[in-house]
Amino acid sequence: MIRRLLIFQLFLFALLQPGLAQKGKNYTVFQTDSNIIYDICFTSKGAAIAIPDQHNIKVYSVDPVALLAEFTGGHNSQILSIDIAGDSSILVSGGKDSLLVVWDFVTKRIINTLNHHHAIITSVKISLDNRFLLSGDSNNKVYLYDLANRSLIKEISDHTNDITTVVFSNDGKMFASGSGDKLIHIYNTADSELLATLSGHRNWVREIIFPCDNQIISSGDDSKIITWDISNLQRPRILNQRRFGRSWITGIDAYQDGEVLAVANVKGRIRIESAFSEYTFNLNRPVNKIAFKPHESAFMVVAIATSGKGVIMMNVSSMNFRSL
Amino acid sequence: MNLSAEYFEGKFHGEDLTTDKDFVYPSFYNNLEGFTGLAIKALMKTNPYLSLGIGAEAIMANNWQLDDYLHYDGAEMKLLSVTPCLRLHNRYKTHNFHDRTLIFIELAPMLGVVQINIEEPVFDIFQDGNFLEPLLQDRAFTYGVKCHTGAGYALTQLLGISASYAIGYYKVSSVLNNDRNFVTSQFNVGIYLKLMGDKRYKYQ
Repeated sequence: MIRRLLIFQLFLFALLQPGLAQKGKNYTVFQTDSNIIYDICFTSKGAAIAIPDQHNIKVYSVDPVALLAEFTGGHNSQILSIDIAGDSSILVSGGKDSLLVVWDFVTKRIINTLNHHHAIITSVKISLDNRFLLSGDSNNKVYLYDLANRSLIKEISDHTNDITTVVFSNDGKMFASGSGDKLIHIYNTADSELLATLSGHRNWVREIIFPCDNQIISSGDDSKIITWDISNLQRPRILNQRRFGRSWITGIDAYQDGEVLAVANVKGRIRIESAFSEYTFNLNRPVNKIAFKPHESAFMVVAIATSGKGVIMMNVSSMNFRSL
Repeated sequence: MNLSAEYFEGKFHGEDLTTDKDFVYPSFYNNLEGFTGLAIKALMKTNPYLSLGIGAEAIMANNWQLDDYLHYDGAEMKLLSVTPCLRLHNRYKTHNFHDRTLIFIELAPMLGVVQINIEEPVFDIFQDGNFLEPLLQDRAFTYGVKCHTGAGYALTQLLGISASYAIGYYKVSSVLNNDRNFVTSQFNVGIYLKLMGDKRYKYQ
C-alpha cells in the first residue's frame, strides 16, 4: 500500500508542479579523471556511491557530494564492474586485467586478488549474505566463488558468447547470467544447477534485474525490455515486452519492486516509467549504467554512468514529465 | 561488418606516348580523358584496428584524345575487378569525436578483366600467315594494387558516409595497344552500412 502511495505521489507531484515538466540541467556531476565510466554502485542505504575511474575506484558521499575514499593499486587496467556488499563491508571490482579484487570497504585495503578469470571481467556481484561472489567474462565463462571459504565453487560454460551481466536474486537463492548469445540462464546458488534458460531477445542481452520474487526484467541490443515470469522455472514465460527507442538498452534498474523502472540506452536516452507517468531525459552520451539511489526519502534520484559525461546524478523530477 | 557502395571519378597518369621496339605509339590509357566507376565492398573487423574484406569494382573510360593522333578516337575501356582488401583504421569508440568518425588506409590487390573497344583498327594482326579480320574489341586479364586513404562519418548507428582518395597501379596486356601498365588516381564518395555494431565497445 505504501509503495502504491509513493508511486501515486510521483504522479501527483509532477501534475501539481508544471514547472517540473521542463527539461532541466540541474544535475550533479561527480569529479572523475575519466569521463568514460562503465559502472556505478550505491551503498545499500544510498549514502555513498562507488565509481570505477580507470584503474581506481572513487567513493563519494551523495549529500553533500564529497570524495570519501579512493581505492588504488588493485588493478593495472580499466575497471569495468564493481559491487558493494549489502553491509558495506567489502567492495569487489573486476575489469580488463582479468583480476577480481576484493577490498575492505572500510580500510580500503585489498583482502584478496583472484585470478581465476582468463579474459576481461565484464560483471561482478556479491550475494546479499556476502558469502558468494559471482562474475562473468568475455570468454563466455561465469564463476561462482565462495568468499567465506576463499574457494572457487563453480566454473560455468553454458553461454556461447560474452557474458554481459550477472546478478543474484533478491533472496540469493538463484543467480542469473545474460550473454551475447541472446540467452539468460538462471541457476540455483546452492548447487549451481541450471534451472531455466530464457530465450526471447533477438540480440545481445545487456542487463538483468530481479525486481521482485518470481520476476526478471531484461534488456538488450534488440531495444527490448522483457519482463519474465519465473514462478514456474520449468516453464518460464514472458509477461510483457516493449521497445525503448531503437538502440541498445544498456541500463535498467527497478525501484519499489519494479513499480518504477529506469531505462537508458546507448544513445543517451533515459526514461523513468511507472504505471501512471513517464519521465524522460536525453543526455546525448552513451549510458553504460543507471541506478536508483536507494532509500531516497524525497523524490527519486538516479545516478548515470556515461561515456562522455562521467557520472551524473539527477532528481527525476527535473526530467520531462508525461502522464500516462 | 560494413557494407559499402562507392562512386568514384579519376584519371590516368603517365606519358602520352609509349615506345615499343623503337616505334613510338600513342598511349591508350593515359590519353583517355578520365574514368568513372562504382565499387561495392564488404569488410569484417578482425581486431579494433584492422578489417579484412572483399570488393568488386567497375571502371568505365572513354573520350581518347591526343593532339593530332586519331588512333583510338571513339575508343572506350571497361574494367571489372575483384579486390580483396586490408584496411587499417582508428579504433571505434562510443564517445567524443571518435564515436562517429572513421579514418582509414586500405591496401587492395586487384584481379580483373579489361575490355577495350575501338572504332578503327590500329594494328594488322596476323595468324598462321593470314590477316585476321580487323580487330575492334579485346578482353585482357589485368592485375594490380590500389591504396586508399580516407575517412567516414557515421550518420546513424547503421548508416555512414565516406570519402577517400586512391592511387592504383595496373598491369595489363591487350593486343589493341602497346601500354603494359597504367597508373590511376581517383576520388571516391560513398555510403556504408554497419550490419553489426561493436558489441564489445566497452572492452575491445
